Amino acid sequence: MTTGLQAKACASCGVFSLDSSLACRKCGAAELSPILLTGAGTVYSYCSIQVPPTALRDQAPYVLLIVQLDKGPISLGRWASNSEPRIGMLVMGEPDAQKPDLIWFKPQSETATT
Amino acid sequence: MTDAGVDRSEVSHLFVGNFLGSILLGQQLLGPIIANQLGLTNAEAIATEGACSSSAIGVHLGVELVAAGVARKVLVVGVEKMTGLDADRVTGALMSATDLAHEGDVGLTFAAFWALSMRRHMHEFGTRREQISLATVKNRRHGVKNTYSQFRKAITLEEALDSRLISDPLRLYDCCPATDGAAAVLLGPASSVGDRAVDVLASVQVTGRSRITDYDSLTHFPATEEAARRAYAAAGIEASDLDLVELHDCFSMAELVDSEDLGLIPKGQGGIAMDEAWTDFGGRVVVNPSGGLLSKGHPVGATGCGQIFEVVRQLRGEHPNQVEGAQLGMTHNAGGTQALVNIHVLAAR
Repeated sequence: MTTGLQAKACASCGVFSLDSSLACRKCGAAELSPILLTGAGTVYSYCSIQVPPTALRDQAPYVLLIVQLDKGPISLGRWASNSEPRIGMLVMGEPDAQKPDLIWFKPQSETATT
Repeated sequence: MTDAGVDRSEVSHLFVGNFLGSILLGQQLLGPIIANQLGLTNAEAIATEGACSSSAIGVHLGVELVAAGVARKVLVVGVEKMTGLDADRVTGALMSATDLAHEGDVGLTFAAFWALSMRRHMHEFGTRREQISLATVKNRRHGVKNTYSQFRKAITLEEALDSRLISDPLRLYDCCPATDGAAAVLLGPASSVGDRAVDVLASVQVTGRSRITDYDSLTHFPATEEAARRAYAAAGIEASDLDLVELHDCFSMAELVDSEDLGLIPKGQGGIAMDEAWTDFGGRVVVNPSGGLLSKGHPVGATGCGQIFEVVRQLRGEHPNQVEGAQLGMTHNAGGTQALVNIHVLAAR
């Protein structure tokens, strides 16, 4: 199983990004170096989707959340726990086995047992 | 063209703003097709696409071409067809305004984008759910008088709060409806247009972020803040000088955040502004006297021109929901996840 999240760090301003852009999202500099993040972070916001895109209809309702990862980048992901998320909760994220852009998060308190 | 007293032979450029036609109807080439239909034989015809801001782009380009002395007269048409089609297809097509390659698998929707903003705003500033839905109640009340509104029935706060969940905490009445619509704007040098014209004091376009994960915060959006700064500087005005603003209320929450980002109200005070009607008639500035997208509907590619149409009617003193003595108005149009923002500042002559 993959652990951690692939990210890029800007050599110029130090900002981290999770995406495949050729330039830094903050300052536009082109020199980026790959780095592996642990996936640990804090819940920034979340919502529960009752009306999903058609392709995800069989999965609704599902919870989407924005996580502020340690080291800075923001991540959009799905909630993989039966507990309720809340803003400020410490969570751990892992990429989906098939779809690497899809990150599953659960509380850090649950990750020790898996 | 009749309203502006302009002969079609004078039109040197046509911009057609449309977003969904190529996906839902399989039709592109809208520039030449519409030029042919209107008999604009002397016009260069160009389609513009920028999601919800598709036709505002055309107005911006037209203003720049006129200012540069390149264009004689520019006609900008915004048009969208969204009803009578399979709802799933329409919803799916709208998602093409996100970065599908990066965020498509996660299941993000625009309602979710604003629901995430909403919950964070409530957390950071103590904004209450009821305050947010008051934006819908206000705009639906404004829309009653507007004959071009899709919804001409006011709603109560209770109805908004009891409507079904779309993306918790966002509910049905927090969302604008799918709509068919079209609007047109004619641009020309100040010396060549009649006394029905209004002055364009500023036309600004700013590129924002096309991915939600590019944002450091979901309670303010830099593209709107930057566009407002540039627009006020270009027009030589301050936010407090504006009599009215037609802003991009695709969701009730967007009206609160946009009002803050445009400097119409202080940061974080969107909730209080709704409670105390700072952005209603009798307040500091009237926001969305047309009823906004929440009442008029949001025919995506037509919305930018539609907002300008509403402000022009106000500045002419001819709006069915008139802001008394309106001299200075503004439009704010945002595409995708505020991936691009257009602002126009307009003044009565």
